[in-house]
Amino acid sequence: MVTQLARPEDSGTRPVVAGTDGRRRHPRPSRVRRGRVAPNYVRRWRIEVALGAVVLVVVATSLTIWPAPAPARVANGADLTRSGIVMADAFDRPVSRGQLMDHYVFNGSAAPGVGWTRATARGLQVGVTPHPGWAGWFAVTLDAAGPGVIWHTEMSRPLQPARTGEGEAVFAVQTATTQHSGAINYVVVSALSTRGEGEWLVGYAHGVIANADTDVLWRSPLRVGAPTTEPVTIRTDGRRTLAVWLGTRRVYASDRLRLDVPAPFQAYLEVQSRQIGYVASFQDFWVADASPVTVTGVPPGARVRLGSGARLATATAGRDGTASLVPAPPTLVGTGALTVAGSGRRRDIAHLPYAGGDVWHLTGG
Amino acid sequence: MTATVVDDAGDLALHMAARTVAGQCAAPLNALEVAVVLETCGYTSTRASALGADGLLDLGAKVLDLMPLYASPATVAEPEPTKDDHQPNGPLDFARGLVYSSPWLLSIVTTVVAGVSFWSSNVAIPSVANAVTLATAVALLVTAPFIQAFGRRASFYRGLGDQGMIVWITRWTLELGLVVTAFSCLVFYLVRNVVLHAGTPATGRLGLAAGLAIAALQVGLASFYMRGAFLSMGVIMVSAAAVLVWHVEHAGAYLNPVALIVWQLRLVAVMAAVCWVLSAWWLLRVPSTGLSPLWRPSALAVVRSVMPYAAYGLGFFAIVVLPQIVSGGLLQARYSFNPSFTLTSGVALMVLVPLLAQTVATTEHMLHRQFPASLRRRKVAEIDGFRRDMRRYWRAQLALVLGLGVTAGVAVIVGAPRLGTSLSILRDLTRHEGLLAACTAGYVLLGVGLFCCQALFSLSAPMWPLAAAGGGCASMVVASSGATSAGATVAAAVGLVAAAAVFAGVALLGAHRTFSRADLVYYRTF
Repeated sequence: MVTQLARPEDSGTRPVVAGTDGRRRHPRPSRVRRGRVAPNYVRRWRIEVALGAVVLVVVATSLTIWPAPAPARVANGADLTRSGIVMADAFDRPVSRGQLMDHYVFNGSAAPGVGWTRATARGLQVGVTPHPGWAGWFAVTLDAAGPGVIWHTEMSRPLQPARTGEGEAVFAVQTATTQHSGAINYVVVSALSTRGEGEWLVGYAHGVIANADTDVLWRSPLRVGAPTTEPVTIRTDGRRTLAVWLGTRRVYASDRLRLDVPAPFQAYLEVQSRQIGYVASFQDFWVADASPVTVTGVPPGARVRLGSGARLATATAGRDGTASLVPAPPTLVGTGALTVAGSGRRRDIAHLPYAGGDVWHLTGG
Repeated sequence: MTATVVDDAGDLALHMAARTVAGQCAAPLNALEVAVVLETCGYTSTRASALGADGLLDLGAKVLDLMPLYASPATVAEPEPTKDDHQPNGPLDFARGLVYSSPWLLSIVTTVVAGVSFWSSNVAIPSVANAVTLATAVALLVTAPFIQAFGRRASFYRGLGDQGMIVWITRWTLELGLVVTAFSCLVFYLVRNVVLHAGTPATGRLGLAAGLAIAALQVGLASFYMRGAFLSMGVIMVSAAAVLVWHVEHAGAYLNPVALIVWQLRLVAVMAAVCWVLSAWWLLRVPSTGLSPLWRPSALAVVRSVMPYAAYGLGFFAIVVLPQIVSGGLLQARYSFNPSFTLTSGVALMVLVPLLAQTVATTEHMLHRQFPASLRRRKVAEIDGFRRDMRRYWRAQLALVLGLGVTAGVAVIVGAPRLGTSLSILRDLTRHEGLLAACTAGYVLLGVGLFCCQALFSLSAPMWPLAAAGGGCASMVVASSGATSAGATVAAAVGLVAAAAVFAGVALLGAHRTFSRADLVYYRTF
């Protein structure tokens, strides 16, 4: 009896004749013999594929880990068990445009080449070069948050007020639901400069896709010596409530508005100008939970104190060893000394990088 | 006396020859066919002379006279092939062909339903879109040759029923392809992010992950196509699509584009891993059906045999992929994702759905029914008739594909912009109707060319498709370069149309010439 082994070499059908005695008689014996695929080869492949599949998923997962939207925070003597910071950028050092674009999208009504963005040691600068008519440029956060958060940045316009044309630095909190709803409603704080004078405004705007109409809720007097820099803090639920602080001064608050800004929101760090080149700068940008800083592991009844001066927040620990500290919204994020004083030993943590919504657990003795 | 003996002996020999012919061909049509059969049985002119004939043809005539004595009634009339054997079963074959496009169709459905597909979405930010589209291009271009080579060779081993050799060829095509793609993606990442400082750090890594995951899925699905495992492929794809839609629907009012793409790519990686594991499970579970294990061929022989197919795969995918990159400014030495061109060409690409389905239907039908049926009906002496049959069949199928292409093209050009009023994803289409028409024409031509190429592959004639793909690529480069001054979008569209036209033209010519002598090509296959 003769069996035939197909020998797939080039066309793949040239036969190799094999007898039942196991000897093979090749038509072309001069050709180098190749081995068959051994059973081991097949078994090894099973392991190879299983390992490969695991490696693929692990590598894909690792490579797609996105940089955190806020820097990591540590403190001697306390562990951060829950972070209340949604996003934060100090903008106190030069950063490449590429790194910025991992957290912000740059866009605007300005023509290509007119709008620009740069992260320097003096802040995130968003600018436009001279152009006809009104044009703007902005950096919008990729992450969205709200409504239970506080929005903050230190916003500056150029020291020299605009003498021709107009320019404004803008910090807006805008609905992130545009993709769904088409709405571009937002609340806004802006620093306007025109004819050598400056003013600060608070308002809200309604619009669909583009061209929102703004209602001004509060404005500072238009004057030559208007401040060029202000820490701006905004709290809103997007429906009826809006509160705005410039520095630690609350300049506007209402809970009877009809804002119609659907949550969640994104922050827009923006510049607008008419005809002139203009630059808006932003530093110390953060978004944090509008809730207390919680410290756990505190001796019951102990007095807990965070920060000092205008940033001071104090609380007494409950029976469960938890103290809730409520900093004022403009100082909701910062670094301060934490002091725990009770019947036992006094604890001091010199630099606690706290934020609203944080839960810090005291460690060690 | 001697002469009588010789005559008797001659008669006897003639009767033996007639019996021999009857054993091979029960009802020969003419002396020529008998002569051919005799020749294949070892009769020569010398032997014909010894039997008193002037040659083989004369011997054939003498033997033909004796054939009625030896052809049994049952065998005189060869069974006519049943109608089902060679008549196209149109709708069923077409539906089967549609299954081949199921992953693509599914991604279109998820895009319409939820605005996202497996690795694209309508909320992608520019930096992410740049990274992912470039990674997709690299993945498709690099894996294409390996997938084509695998498809060709693995089908062959599957036909011979040797699972061990399927594992062997899987390693040396698909796995090697994945390794090469990973290396290519890494090099691309280093050049783009480290040397050119284009893109952003996170999107650079994301692009690398996208390249790996998409390539792994492409090569992972190849083995499902090879063994026709559309059910299990469908289960994987539908499950993933369901997870994707669920994620989008539960993401709330704001769909973070970064979170979405991260999620999508991890899902694609998991899909790819599942595909690979399932393929391995199938290969190791199903026993070989061949009589004995095959010999492992030399790598050189395999490379030689699959090289035209691999090169064709590269060329074809270059025609499909490169216009997208050209539209982003490749010819201006930059790349910025072009959403208008992507949307428009993506919609125009829909014309390929029916064309691909018909291509699959035709090639399957041709190989499994039309050819065998024609071969059964025709005798050796009826070569001309066989060729006529094949030409007629080829022309009918080509006319069908052209009709489908024109119908689908008109439907897309006229219908898609009107759908923009109800489907927000198509809203901008009305602003690009000229571009839509150009891209649609390009893809109809591409589909016709693909049809011709697949028919040629069925006849194991890869050189014409290779020439078509090469010519298409060359014409794309020339046409796009010539149209650069009109802008990146126009350059991309012109390149696509030119490439598809040349591809279709060369493939059509090749198919026509090949089908004109289909018998020779078909037998050379074996």
